[in-house]
Amino acid sequence: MADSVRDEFPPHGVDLLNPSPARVYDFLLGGDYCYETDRRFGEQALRVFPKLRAVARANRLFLHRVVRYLLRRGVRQFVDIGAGLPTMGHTHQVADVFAPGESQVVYVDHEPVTVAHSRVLLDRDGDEKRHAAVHADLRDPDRLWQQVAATGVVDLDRPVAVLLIAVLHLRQLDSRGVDVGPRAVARYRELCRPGSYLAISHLTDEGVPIRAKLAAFAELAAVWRSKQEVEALFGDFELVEPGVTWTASWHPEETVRDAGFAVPGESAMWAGVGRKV
Amino acid sequence: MPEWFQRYTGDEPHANEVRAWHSERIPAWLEAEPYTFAMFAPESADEIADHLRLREERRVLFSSSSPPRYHVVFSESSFWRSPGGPGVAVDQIRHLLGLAAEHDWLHVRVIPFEVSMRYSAPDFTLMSMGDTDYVYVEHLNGALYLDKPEDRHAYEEYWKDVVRLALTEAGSREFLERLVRELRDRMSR
Repeated sequence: MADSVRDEFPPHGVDLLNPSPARVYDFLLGGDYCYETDRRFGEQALRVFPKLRAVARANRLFLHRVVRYLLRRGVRQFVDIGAGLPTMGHTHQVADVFAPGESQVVYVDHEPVTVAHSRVLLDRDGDEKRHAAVHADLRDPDRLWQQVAATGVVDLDRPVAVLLIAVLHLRQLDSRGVDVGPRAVARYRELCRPGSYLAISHLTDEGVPIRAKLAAFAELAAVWRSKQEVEALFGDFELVEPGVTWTASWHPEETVRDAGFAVPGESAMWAGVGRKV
Repeated sequence: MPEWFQRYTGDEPHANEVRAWHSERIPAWLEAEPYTFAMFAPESADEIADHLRLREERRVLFSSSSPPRYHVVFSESSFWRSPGGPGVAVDQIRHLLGLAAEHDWLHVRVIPFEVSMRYSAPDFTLMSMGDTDYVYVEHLNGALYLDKPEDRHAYEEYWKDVVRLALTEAGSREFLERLVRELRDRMSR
């Protein structure tokens, strides 16, 4: 990384003393790839917000439905940014069940440990010609795009699906402390070819009286966005039906299981899919 | 994998018996993932993935149909001297207890801090191959393969001390379970 880039986007720290969002999410989904630090944080968070496990599950089921929905519409290339660990029914696993051997997936994360872990997991159940894990920074779209292209796994001159699932609510700060998440998303919209798709899910406190309870998440540097703010992230992309909605309400017919919410608003996350025309 | 390590890893699955003493660390094949991550976390994703793959290669013993009898004695220090702090140590101890419970050829014992020893020798491994026995002693940038009878004798004598001073397997398990609780308490503070 050039020094100028390093200055603008200070590298995310690597440490195992603090919980990792990727592994806490794995814990909430009931996975095996979380550690004591992550479990402990997850258990604390569940004590103040017991629905959190269902929130995580609803988000993962949203991802499943998005992947199947896009495969039905002919999408075969996925760039999953802020992917975390490729476990518990992640993009390549869902895609390979629906359309075996047909899709390409590049997982991107900024944590070297998560990426290394992903590579070893993909050694076990992935296909090196169709799956890759890249260490890149969401905040630096042009460089990330080059790194994704360099894998040779996806062809960025053709339409792709860019997945930003449950990642933009983690603050994407530049050196001046500005959250450049929305600016980066705008650049991803420019970088992809017409016919490409963008899928986003994002934590919110809107209509969900849990802000105080979610204080535990301050440690993960979360930022809440309103429905309107999440809609704005799609820019000039055409939102597919039903637009931005709760994760649990986005094409619920595409899944047989549901997360068990009394009302969809309990899913605490806005979600949507847009298409570049 | 460094060249000086290859004879050891080649021999390990074919040995009759392996006896290892570790005073300050966990050997790669017994490492839990977070322990490996914590050791190499400042490196790049590529390098960390290479370390993980190497560790996977060394774990062939766990799927072998005829693994050697493997005795490992740890000083308590191996668990406290963990990269990444008490959280990683907790994961590491649980991983080790799980492996020992699952594989009856793996015998894990511990020498607690309060047990006095004449001195703590550097780590070594007694490799019993049947015909060509040797002692494997690693240093930071290479290793010795000691096969002279007088060298082997010195290490055999030290090993006698090690097994005499170590807790039994059942006692070691209880000790490690207590250590997990103690480390978890430290994390809450």
